[in-house]
Amino acid sequence: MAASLHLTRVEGGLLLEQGPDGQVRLRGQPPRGFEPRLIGRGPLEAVFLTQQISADAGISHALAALTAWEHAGRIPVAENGRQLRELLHGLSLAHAHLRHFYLTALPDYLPWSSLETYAGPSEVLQDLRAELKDKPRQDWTRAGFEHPFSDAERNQLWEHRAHAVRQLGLLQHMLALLGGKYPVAMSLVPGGMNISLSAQTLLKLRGYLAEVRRFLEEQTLEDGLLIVKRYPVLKGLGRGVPDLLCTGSGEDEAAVEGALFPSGVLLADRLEPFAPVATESIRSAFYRVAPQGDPSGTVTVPQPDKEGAYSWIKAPRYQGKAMETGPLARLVVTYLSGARMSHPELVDQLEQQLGVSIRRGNTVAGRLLARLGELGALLERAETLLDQIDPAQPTVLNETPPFRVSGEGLALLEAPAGALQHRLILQRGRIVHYDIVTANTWNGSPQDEQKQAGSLETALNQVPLNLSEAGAQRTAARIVHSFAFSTTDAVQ
Amino acid sequence: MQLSRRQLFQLIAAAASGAALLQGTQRLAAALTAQPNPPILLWLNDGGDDLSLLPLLGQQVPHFLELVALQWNVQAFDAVLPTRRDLGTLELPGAPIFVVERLPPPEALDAAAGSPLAARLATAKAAILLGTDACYGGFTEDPARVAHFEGVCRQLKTPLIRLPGVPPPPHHLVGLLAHLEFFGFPPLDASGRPLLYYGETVCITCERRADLDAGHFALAFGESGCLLKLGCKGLVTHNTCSTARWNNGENWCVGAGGPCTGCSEPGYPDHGGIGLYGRLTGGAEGARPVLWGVVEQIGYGLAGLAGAGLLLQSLRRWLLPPLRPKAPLSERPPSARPPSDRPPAAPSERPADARPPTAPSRRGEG
Repeated sequence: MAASLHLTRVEGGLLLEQGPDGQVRLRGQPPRGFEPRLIGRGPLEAVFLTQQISADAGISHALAALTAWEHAGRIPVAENGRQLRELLHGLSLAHAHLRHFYLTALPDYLPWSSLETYAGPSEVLQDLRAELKDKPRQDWTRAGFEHPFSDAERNQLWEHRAHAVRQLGLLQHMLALLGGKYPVAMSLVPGGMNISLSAQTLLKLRGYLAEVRRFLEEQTLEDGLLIVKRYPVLKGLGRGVPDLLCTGSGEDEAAVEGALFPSGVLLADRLEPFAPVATESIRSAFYRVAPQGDPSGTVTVPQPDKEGAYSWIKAPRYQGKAMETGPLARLVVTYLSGARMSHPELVDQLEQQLGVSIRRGNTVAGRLLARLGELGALLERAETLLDQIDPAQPTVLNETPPFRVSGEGLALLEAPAGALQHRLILQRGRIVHYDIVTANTWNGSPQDEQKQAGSLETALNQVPLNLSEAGAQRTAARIVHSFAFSTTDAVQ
Repeated sequence: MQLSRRQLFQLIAAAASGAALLQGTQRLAAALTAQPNPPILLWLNDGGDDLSLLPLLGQQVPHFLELVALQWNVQAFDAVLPTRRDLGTLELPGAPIFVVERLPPPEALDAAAGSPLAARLATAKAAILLGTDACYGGFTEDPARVAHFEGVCRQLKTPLIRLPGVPPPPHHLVGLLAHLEFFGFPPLDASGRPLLYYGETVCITCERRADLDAGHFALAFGESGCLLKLGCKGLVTHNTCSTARWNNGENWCVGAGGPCTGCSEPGYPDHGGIGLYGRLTGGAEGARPVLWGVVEQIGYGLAGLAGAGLLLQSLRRWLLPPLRPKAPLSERPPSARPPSDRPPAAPSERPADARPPTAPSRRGEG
């Protein structure tokens, strides 16, 4: 039964391998080595360079690198700068979620070939349909699979997808206004944000945001609910590990008040406060501990021929447990902790759809819907932030030049796919140790010493899949895409 | 819609100047798909990030995925296709163009070992290296791997074109594909980049250029003024960022107060040891001389040129006669008064008094 599958629409590509025992394992790709490459550089370079780890999580990485530096140097941040950063980050999450649903996940449910029978009013799609008929097509647009949508639903999904591309463009406009360009923002500096804020910029941002919200609030969650309704199997498919983790926004006490996501862990069905005590196992990963000493303790180096290893992803554990992280974990932790939610009815809606308590909702359907539900909350928060920002106040504080600091810094925040941690040690303005634990490392981790696999691998092995069959390959793709998995983010 | 060759070239060049960018890129993309045999693209990005995909998905090439899926004849592109295509068994209707974002490992390029990738590469029209890491190594790629790939391409006689940038500007890719389709191979600079898009430094058309000329520098983040002293590499960075800008012309790095990091230069990210932010993040001692050296060289160059010009001018005045005889106006016929009659008068007179023999006579007159 040994087979392997190379999944597409996963950043960096993902190789799934099925052993003779039928177990599906994630192999991943060799790392590009961001952590060792950052040694000896300045912390501002880390803010720029870590954005290359992943396109969707780029802003999150930059913010984490910056926050860790500010933590190490105890650098104060301008209030305006803090709000602008949250706005930039929230919009990058919304961009990631929107792209993920319509361009990564949707083709698993609605094949390209269904465009051939499109009969709606959209001119763009009519042109494309004509193109599909007239031109010699490629194998992969010709090949499709049976889908359960009615004609009207199929038309609607295609139209919403075409709309979504336009919304992505508008979100990129907003991200470019705040960050200079997207991806890879240039305005994140210690003490705040570098941009000069004008009433004109804020007005433009409001205009774009109003249009994006109009689309999202009417259509996106509806499309997600439609998919779950037509594919009821998703409600039980791809169940991951039961323990959930959300590191929250990672800001200090004062900022937590208005934060979108409070921190917390769901451990053995009980909500507990989060503490940064994660450990990392490399038992099944192609790494060994480097012999030489390091200021922080351990550093690992790749060892592709390691006995018993099968993955390029390391295995972070919280109190020895594999955790799932991502929009669903954020939703559950926010709901259980009783924090203010922008859409409290979302949880009821999801529980009604899924037929189980939201804390048991870590299936393909639960992840898809939680991600789409979060979009609304993110954009509502963006509007609140735009109201709070005062263009007359400075966006950056420049009291002390922070470039020669020494110390250790830790940053925790929520990237599109879940919890993200950056830890660095600086010596007179130089990075001597850098440590990144991403959401995709949590979710995609291999087995540890207790033979306990990460959430994605657990989900793939929930029911036996034969990876050499086309149907099972689609199922595997649906499970992997429900995590918004990115290999480059998982291995760095 | 049929575009003439002139219109096509204007659109390709428009991406460099930033004129009507969105429409231009859209029309080029459409012109490419309207070809009876559109270019066949094989896109390699195994283990690389999606950085260059996102701006393509945005406003600059709307419906990029639909173009790719239905019209552009993309045969292998993991970020988009429903399933992976095997390069070994793929049947292509013609010679492909490779777009390489993450270089394949050297063992995958071994033609002697029957590598399907090397076989495809040998038949390719061109290979486009997309992104600084693929072009020069950048931050995450081993420069030895770039050199190896370059060597393999040279051996297989496949021309290489580099489109660097972190991420590379999306209109560069569309413009280059159109250039290859309609006008053939574009002229390249010494670093292997199309001169059309990497011919000028971003400093020349920067909105803060006047601040540089006036010596008004930002010394801390958030201040107005030229960002040179904060480590800006705009003076030595060849790209279209300051004209075409980013995300459909909305903004660019310097527009958001971020010093240019020189992300499309072969030296990125170390820039010969001064680092991404020059004197900012360490390397303080190295940054100033190198960047200031550039300014000083330009300044000395200008001063030298001006001095040489003055010298030549004075020498000419000493040694040569003036271009026109300085005859008293009263001696000329009335019809020959300038300006109406100057053009016909000049050609007939100039050869005569430019000759050395006339020089003594003039001195004699004086």
